[in-house]
Amino acid sequence: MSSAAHILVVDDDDSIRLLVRRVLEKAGHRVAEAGTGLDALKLIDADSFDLVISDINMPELDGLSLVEGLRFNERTRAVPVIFITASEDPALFAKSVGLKARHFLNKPFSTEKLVEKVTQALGR
Amino acid sequence: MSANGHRIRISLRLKLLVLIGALLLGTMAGYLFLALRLITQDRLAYAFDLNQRVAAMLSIQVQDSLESTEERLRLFGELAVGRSDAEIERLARQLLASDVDLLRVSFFLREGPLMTARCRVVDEQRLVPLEISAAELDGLDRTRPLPLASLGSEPVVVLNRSLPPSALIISLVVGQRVGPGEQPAWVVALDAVPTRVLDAFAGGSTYVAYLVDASGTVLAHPDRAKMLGAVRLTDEPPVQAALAGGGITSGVLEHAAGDRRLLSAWARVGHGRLIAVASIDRAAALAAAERLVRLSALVGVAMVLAALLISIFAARAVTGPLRRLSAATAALAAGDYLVDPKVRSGDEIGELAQDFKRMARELRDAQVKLLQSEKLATFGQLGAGITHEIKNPLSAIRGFAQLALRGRDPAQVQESLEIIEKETQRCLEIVQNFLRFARQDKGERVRVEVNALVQDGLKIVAHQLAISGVKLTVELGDAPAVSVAANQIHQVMLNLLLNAAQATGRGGVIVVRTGVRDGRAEITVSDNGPGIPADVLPRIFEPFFTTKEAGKGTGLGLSVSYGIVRDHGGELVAESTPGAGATFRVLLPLAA
Repeated sequence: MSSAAHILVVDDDDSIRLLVRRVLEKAGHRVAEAGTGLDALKLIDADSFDLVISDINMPELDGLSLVEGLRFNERTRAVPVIFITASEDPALFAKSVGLKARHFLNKPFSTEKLVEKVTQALGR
Repeated sequence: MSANGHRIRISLRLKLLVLIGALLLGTMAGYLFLALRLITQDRLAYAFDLNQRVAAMLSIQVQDSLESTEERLRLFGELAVGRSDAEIERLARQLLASDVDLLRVSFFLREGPLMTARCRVVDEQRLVPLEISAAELDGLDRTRPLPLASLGSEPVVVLNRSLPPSALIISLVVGQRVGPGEQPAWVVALDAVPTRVLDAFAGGSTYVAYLVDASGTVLAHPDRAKMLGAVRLTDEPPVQAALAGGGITSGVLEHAAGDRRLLSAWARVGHGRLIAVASIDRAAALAAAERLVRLSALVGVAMVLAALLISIFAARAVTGPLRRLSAATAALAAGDYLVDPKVRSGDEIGELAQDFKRMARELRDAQVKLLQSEKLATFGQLGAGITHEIKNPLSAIRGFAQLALRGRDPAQVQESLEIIEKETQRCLEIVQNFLRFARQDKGERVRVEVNALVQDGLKIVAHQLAISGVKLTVELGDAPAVSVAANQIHQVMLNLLLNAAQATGRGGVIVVRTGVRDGRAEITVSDNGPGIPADVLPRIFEPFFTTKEAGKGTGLGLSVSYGIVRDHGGELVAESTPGAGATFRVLLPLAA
């Protein structure tokens, strides 16, 4: 691990957030958590992140809307995003590609896959 | 639809009763009519017969009495001819002594064309109770002379020579037996009290009998006044019939007597010179028959009443099962598929009841199958949601299992295993929620709080709504208990919620409320979708009616939901303001 990245995990499911934190911390990254899309936006305003890993289906503000928000902000426009989803709906893929979010992690994912996707997304 | 929709105007029981009553009354009336006719005819025949026998019997008595007296008088006459007056008087006293009823004996001898009295012997003692004197008796020969000169070849004449007010006297005149055209040489006349004859004609309680001579004059009659007055009864129809009868010696007839009708018989007596008549009052003759008929009618009416009473029970035995069957039909229409008409009779109605029961069971089976298939259709709509929902705990389980496998730190391994256990439990709950709903249930009604019922139902569909991007708000109010098949009510809720989610789409809001309205439990599902057009609203509960594109719905969801709620004795109502969403109300009767 050459350098540690600052990664934000957004998911309404506590267990999945904890899993991602444990795996990525083990990989040497710093991890922040948000339980809702709105909490995530507040954290992103206050801090800068190298990567956002977000669930798509969330109450109130879903993952797609969250990333749309990021893309409108000059400061966060280029932040890479990994979507975690249980859905295999092709429409979601199309929409996420439009948001320049090519990285997908299908539930239930393995820890190796998570690390692999994070490495890919960070471009290292 | 309901049993009240078709009112029974004239019950089958009443019809049966009227039929049985009419049959009974008809039979009874026919029987009474025939019985009355037969009995009347029989009684009339009997009365005529009795009359004839009475008349004949009286004739024989009169005849016997007449003949024996005639013989004695003839013997006296023959003995007296040629004797001295003293000897004749001695013979006459002997004759008087032979019978207490005899009053006087007179003996006449022919002297040329005239009959001369040779001897008159009176027993004066016997005149005392009659309150007459010997002189008065002698006076009779002047006032009512004996037909001494006109005696024919059969010289026997009977006369009523009563002396009012109290002396009943019958005179018998007997002459010497001679050839045709000759006149007897002697004549004996006897005056007597007709005690024995009167006894014979005293009459019974039912008949009247009397004796008249050839002129119709009374010789013996139970009416003492008629005898004392020597009344002529030529106006009496039987006397007229006898007098007009010529050679006929007896007859019967029915005739009026004042306001009564008499049945009479007559007979010629004493060489045809006397007439015996016996009469019976027709009403008296038929009194027994009338009593019998009256009794029969009374017994008949009692029997008809008893038969009607019995037939009320009999009719009940017939119509009771029909009534129960009718009630069972109403119960079936109201959704009670397990209804038992409770008809055990071995007849056609019993068979019908069994068929009815079988039909109800088959209907229930069909209903259960329909419910199940519609439920599976609903379940299919949930399928994606289930998969999705279960992937979250599965992800956690998989990840933490991997972490635990590679873990060095016991505390971290412990944490991983704890999370795995918790998430496994979550999987189990998700699966159980769906399985409970998917399971084929028997529709048994269970008492349950409405709020618990609604929350259990929401568990099944909440995630589906969440991933559909629909916001679900739940407002639980006063929560009374209802008695329902929970699974079926969940099916209704799911149907309404999924419909609402489809109507609103992503970003929509669904509000579920519970409460009480008009004494019933209420569950409302409101959405802020486009609402239901006014022309569609009345049709939404029709089977196979759908506005969704082909393949997106069976068109049975709301129809089945409507059926389920109605089966629970409740009501499913839809309200909508186009453009402002729709509200569905499930109203259920409170549990007892």
